[in-house]
Amino acid sequence: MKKNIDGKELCPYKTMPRSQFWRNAVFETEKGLIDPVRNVGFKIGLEDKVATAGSCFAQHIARYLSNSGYNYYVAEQGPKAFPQEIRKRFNYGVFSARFGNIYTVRQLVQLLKRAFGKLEFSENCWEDNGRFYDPYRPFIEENGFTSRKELLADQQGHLTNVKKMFEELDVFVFTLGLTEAWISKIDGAVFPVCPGCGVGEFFKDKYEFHNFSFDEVTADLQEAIDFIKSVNPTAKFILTVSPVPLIATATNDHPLVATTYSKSVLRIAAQTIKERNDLVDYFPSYEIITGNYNRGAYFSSDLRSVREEGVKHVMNCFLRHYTNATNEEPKHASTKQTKVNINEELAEVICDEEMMEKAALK
Amino acid sequence: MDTVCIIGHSHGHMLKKGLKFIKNESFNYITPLIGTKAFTHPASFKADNAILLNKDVDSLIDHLKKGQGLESIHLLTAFHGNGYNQFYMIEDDEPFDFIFDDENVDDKLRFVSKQMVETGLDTFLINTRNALSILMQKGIGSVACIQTPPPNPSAEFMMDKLRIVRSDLTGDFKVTSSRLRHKLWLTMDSMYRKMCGELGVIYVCAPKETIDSNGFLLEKYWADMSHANELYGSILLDEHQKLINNLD
Repeated sequence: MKKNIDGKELCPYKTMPRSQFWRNAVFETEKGLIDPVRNVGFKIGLEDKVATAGSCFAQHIARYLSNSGYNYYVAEQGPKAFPQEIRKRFNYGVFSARFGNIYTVRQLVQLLKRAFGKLEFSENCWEDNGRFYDPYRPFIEENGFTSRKELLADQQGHLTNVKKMFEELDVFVFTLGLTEAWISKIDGAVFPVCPGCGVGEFFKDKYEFHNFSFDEVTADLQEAIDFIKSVNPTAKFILTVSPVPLIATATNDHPLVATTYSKSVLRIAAQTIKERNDLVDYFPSYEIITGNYNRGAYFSSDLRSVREEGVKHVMNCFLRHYTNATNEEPKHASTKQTKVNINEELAEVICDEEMMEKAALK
Repeated sequence: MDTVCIIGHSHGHMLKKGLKFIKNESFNYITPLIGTKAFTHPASFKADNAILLNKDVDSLIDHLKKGQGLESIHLLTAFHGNGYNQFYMIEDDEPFDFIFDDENVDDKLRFVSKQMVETGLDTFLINTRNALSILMQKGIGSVACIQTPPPNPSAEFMMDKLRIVRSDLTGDFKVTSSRLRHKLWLTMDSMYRKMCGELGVIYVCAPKETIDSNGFLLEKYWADMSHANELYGSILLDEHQKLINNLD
């Protein structure tokens, strides 16, 4: 412990680097240069298979990774016979497997268990107007499947690819999105969207709302990591929290309050799990986008969607710290990019949650 | 005497060649060359009207108007039609399968939905749909579209014909299984049927006597990997005559 000339111990803050102080680290730093990442636990090599999953925001990470020259791992590829735009339209390559958005950690746990044959649910198909939807990724197939048989065949192939993904990945980037979910009263199955919002049908005696607690999220996250390590002992993890606010809350709270609860729980759960486990990092996407230093500049006019500028900031930090990338921008995203094509890219980020709003506004 | 105007791409050639077998002289047949020039493909087939853009439709209508009233003209079209083969005639290293008509799929292959297959095939139908849609608004007596000939069951025959076009196709190249090609053809056929139904276009189906018990084109009607011969064309012309004779 350092002491002053009188032999008294110095206040610890007196010897801290200036970068530990808000004034220097935030207030006096240009917005675009803010970099809250410190001491990453590992680096991503060019050959490392990086898989992504999580809420809508994870799609941005997937998009940048796939354009960064690093090995963005897609275990469930669409056949090459189909043009790229069709594969993308059918959600191939949007994530590392065709699982759609995984908003809650419980969803991740059940996906893992289903993929490895450890869990089956009573509900595996929603029929709606003669089309068939996968309850666990209801918007994965445009307009649903043509038959139950087709849905189940696709589901089986999907889960096989999910299993392969977890067995073979080197780095798993998971974006925690929500604590609010709708659950089957019958067997506890968690759905990515409320049944009846967009597809399916809502029955109050069949489904119930659940807002996961810190203990539940932490336990689920630990279970997911333990499970993945059990099938892939060298896997490394990067946890992020989505900065995207809740589109709606099923609690009685104001959406601001509900969002703060949800994000706080997820943020602390991620921190707790990082501290408990080796080779698990927390990456501050949430802080970069929501930090007041940017005065809300990273949110679109709806104050919810993240602007491309914000995503770019996040991914610049990500690639700077986790890779040796020199070209930190997506190959197709030059500074000459027009507003039109940026909007197109943003529109391409598919958000199941928005189905809830659309359904409610009908 | 009403006129039958044959127009279209490579499949139109079998119709034109099939004209020599037509004995019924109740129709006057014409085969104008509209659009790009006719060409002969090294694999033996010919393609006329290789592109049918909107301006080509206008040229065709102008051409037909010179003869007689459009209402006494029956247009027999053969636009595109090879989409299912263009899409997946040669198997790549990621063969796929899909469910058609509730049949089982090969678990070893990558599964895709029928909707995705239809989306892939639709890229080959767009121009045909546009052309037929415009033609249906021109006051022509009738507009018909031929069903693409059923697929060829022989990978060996198809490979031989392909090598005429592409000598670099070595043993590594493999013609897609006849089972999958047949399913792709059936899928495309259902899309053509739907399209014709919606547009009010007559759909001239492959005659039963040209198809084997498994739904493939009988050998005596083979021309190359994707086309049928003039004998098949003549049978299709007979079918077309029957259909337009039954029109009100």
